[in-house]
Amino acid sequence: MTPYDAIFLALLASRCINRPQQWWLVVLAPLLSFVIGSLEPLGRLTEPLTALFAVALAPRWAPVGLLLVVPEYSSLTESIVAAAAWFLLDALFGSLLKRVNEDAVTPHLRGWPIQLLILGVLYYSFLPLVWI
Amino acid sequence: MTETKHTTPTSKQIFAEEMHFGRVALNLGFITEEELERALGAREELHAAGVDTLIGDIMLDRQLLTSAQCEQILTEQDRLLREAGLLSRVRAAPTIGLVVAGMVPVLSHMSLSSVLTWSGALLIGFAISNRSPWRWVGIGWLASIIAPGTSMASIGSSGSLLHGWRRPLGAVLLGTCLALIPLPETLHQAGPLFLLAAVVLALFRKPPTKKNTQDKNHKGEQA
Repeated sequence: MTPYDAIFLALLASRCINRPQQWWLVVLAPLLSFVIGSLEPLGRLTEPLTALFAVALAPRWAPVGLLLVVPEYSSLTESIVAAAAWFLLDALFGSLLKRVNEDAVTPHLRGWPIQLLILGVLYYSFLPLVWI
Repeated sequence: MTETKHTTPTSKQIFAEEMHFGRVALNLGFITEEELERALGAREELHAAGVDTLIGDIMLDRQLLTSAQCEQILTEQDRLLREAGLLSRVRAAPTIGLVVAGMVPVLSHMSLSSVLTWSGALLIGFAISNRSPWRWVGIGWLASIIAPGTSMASIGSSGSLLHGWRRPLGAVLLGTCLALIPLPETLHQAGPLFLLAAVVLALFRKPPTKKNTQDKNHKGEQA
């Protein structure tokens, strides 16, 4: 899974579960994944430790944290960018959802379909940044 | 211990939202006051035991509600939350959990053996586990020992998103189909899959009508 796909899947997952009080700790998941992954002495313990830390950051939001550690981050910069991108996109997605007037949306698209469409549009809007 | 937990704003909010779900179900005439109280009591007991379950799931498990009624309540709840300016608050959405979990194998570019391990871990996990993410980390670890190369984070994230028995089965079917069907490479990305899921949901989901709601209310009054 690419970090970009993981960010968007985590965004969708975050809308499925009640947001815990310290949800923002999940932002640290990509950084932890990279740091633990770069510690060579850990060997085969790398993945279990990463998963445990991802859950420990916000147990109620474990699926979000775990999705953010699925990709292998190749550098510290990539993990920081992924964390920042997730944080900013979460705020943007939330803001866009607040602005959607459901009365103006056709009944078949109300609820999850419109949210998925917004995520799809955001995905393609920011895709050029991945190439950069 | 339980009371201490309920004094935190988040727990209060969640409890209020759960209460809201129950109230909407009551107002729509799907359940009686007594059934609501019993379901809330059951939720409290589970919460005290450290298991966080949604009131809707309890009602579904006890067959107080059908899946269609549950969807109708969630739609109505969304509308009420919007009116109250609370749209930013999120709530459980089991169907989307299934969709997210089902997308994991195709987006992870899993091999056939990894997809089978992922599916097996999910199904075995649901037979022996609840929604605790810690247990899912353990199950993912065991699966990755048996089949090296399988991502335990993929298993853990998928498993902790799902509950009940239908959704894991649905996620396994969806995940296996998406991973095994030779889809164009462009569909192995989250964006097109979101758009596809939106179209499928829009086509196959029955939007609630005012007439249905009124009929249900009438039935509730008669009951």
